[in-house]
This record gives sequence, structure tokens and C-alpha cells, in this order.
Amino acid sequence: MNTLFSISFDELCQIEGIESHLIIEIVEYGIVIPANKEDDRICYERWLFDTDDIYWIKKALRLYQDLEIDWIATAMVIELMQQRDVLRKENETYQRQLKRFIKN
Amino acid sequence: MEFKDYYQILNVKPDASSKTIKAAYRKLAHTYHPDMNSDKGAEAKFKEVAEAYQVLKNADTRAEFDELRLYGSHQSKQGFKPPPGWQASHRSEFKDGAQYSGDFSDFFNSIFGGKGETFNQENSHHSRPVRGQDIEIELPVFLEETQKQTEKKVEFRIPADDFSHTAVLKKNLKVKLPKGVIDGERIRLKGQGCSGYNGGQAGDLYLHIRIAHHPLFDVFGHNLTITVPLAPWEAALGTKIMIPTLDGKINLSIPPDTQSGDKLRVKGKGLKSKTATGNLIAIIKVVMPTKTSEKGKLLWQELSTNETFNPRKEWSML
Repeated sequence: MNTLFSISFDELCQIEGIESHLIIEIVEYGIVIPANKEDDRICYERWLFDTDDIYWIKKALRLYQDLEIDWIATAMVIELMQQRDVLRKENETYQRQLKRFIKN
Repeated sequence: MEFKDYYQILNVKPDASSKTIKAAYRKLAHTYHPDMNSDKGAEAKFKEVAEAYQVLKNADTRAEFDELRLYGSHQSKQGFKPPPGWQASHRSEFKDGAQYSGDFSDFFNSIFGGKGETFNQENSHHSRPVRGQDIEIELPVFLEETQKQTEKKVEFRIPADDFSHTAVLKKNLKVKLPKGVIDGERIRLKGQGCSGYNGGQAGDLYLHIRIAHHPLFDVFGHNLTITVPLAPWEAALGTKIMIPTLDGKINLSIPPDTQSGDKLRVKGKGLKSKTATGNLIAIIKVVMPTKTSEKGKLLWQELSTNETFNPRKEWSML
């Protein structure tokens, strides 16, 4: 079974059924950054997204629609969620490391 | 069919203004939205709240619901039946609904006609092709497996039919994981999610990589850490010891006067991925013998007499 690590702009629109203007807005607000966006000459139709980005795009759309919040608030919520995930993971690792040092 | 009192669900009075209804929805959505609340039951509660709001936020559908509510007050709550010949006149209102509106209750579907149409239209019943739902599952991977291309068996269950969530289909796949996958990474398997409807494409399967905890190593990005126990004399005098790495044992030189908590870096012995190679960080832990021999006690005694070391020197300033 072949594994994929990216999805194209077209695939996101066609397969996932997400409207193109929503994806552009999500990128403009910095919620996700296409893997090849560093090159500004690349037009949005040729953007490539990591599989992890799809997860955050879907989450952003759900929050935007279900909570009736604007894109700035959505971007802030997503950023805080991402930070929380990183801190939670770091905390778990430090806890494990501490247990190797300290006897219960 | 159970009657759903949408006012009760949103915890508002039946004569509440649209502003009050909106505020009540926002408060409950903030509490129960599955992206914000991972508690069991939060998603079901949010779906109920979203359904109530979908009906009450629109003046026309709210008026229809009020009519039904009045009619329903004369019936038992569990055995509710709409008036004979009932047909909602605002079925088309349920477009662009909330994400979870695709999963509305039987009460909603029979009263307001079919499932809500969501932006990704995963769940709507129409004759046009509808793509199947994407599925995400966690895939536990051993740390050693990330350092080479690995074939993993993946077993998961998906709804046999996208619209009845009762029957489940067991699927087995063999997946090739490329070398260098990292914790939290997602891998997409095209067309391995739920089946489509009306000839629509199947959804995708996303494997969320979870690296299983290792008995010796902890992972920090591409770096690995290992706690290295040392005897006090090894830490004081310095030594050479063998330490494990992911690809075999190596010699590590411990310099004299090494402290507990000191970190020694072994370059290139961390995790290797497409983009980077990490280091192995050896963290020193000085361990005392659990029982000291008579001869050992004499040697410690000699040391304590001859050394002036004060481990609590900083406390003297307090």
C-alpha cells in the first residue's frame, strides 16, 4: 500500500470538497502554510499541503463554521491548540525523563 | 420517535430572542465542541446543540418547530408523531449548516426533511455521487521501526455503509512506512476510508503515527536522550562505558568530576529522517550502592575526613 505525505490544492478542493476560497483564506491567515509557498511565484493552484495540514484545515473549518467565529479568532484558536499539543507532548516526555531520575 | 425540545437543549425560554438563542448556542458550542472538549459524550452533546440551533436560528423553521412543540405537548415525549400530513416548508434552509449537522437526529430528519447539507457534503442523501468519509486512526510504531522502511499490518473498522453507523466492516492493510517517520506525523492512504455513496469515491485513511514509549530512550524532536547510571567513583575519576544506541552499543568516555544531570552529546546517534539526523544525549545519574561493604565504609570514611567538599554550600547564604 502506497503512503502519501502530501495533498495538492486541487485534491483538497475536489476530493475533500472544500471550497477553494476557504483554503486561500486559511493560508492567508497563516493557519497552515503550503509546503512550497516559500517560492512566491507559485500560484495557489499549485500549492502542496502536508498531510498534517489537512488535519488542521478541517479543524479550522469546523471551528469557523460551528462556533461562528471569524478567521482571525480561528487562526488564534488553532495556534493555541498547536501550542497546547506541543507542550502536552513535551510535558509527557519530561515526566517520563523525571521518573528515570527520581524513585517513586 | 423521541420529541426534542430544542429550547430545553439550548437552555433558553421558548420566547427567547434570536440574540439570546445565539448567545446560548455559542456558550454551549464553546463547552461541547469536540475540537475543544475531548470528553466522552461531548461530541454527541454538541450535535444535539448544533441541531437545536440550526432550527431555532431561522425565524421560519423556528415557527414550524413552535407549532410542532405545541402539538407535541399533548403527546408522550417518547412516542411523538408529527401531525398527519405534516411537511416542513423550509427544508431547503439546511444548507451551509454546521459541520456536525450531517448527523442530525431522527426527529430532525423526519420533521425537517433529510440530513443537513454540510460544506463537505459527506453525509447528504442525494442521487449524485458522494465521497466516503475520511478515517483517522492511531498507528503505534516502535522507535526502532522508524529507522528503516517497515511493513506494518493495520487493522481497523469502518462503517459498512456511510449512512448507517450500525454495521461495521473490518479492514486489514499492509502498509509500508518509510524510513524516518516521526511521532505525530500523519500518513495518507488514498481511498482506504469509508466507501462512497452513489458511485462516489471512497474516503482516505489517515494513519497518525504514535511512537511507543521506549524503555531506555526519550525522544525530543530528532534527538534521543538516555539516562546513564554511574557509580560515584566512576563519576569522580572518569571512565569509559558501553552505552546502547538504536543501532548497537558504543563506547562513551566519562570525564572526571562528572555531575548528576550532566549531559554528554553523541553526535549523529539520534533519529534519522529525510531532513535531519539527531544526536544522542546521555544524561548522567550518579547512583549510590544500596548496601556498602565494611571495606567500602572505611574508604568513604577516609574520603570524608580528607575532603572539604560541601554539597550544601549554597544554603550557607540563606
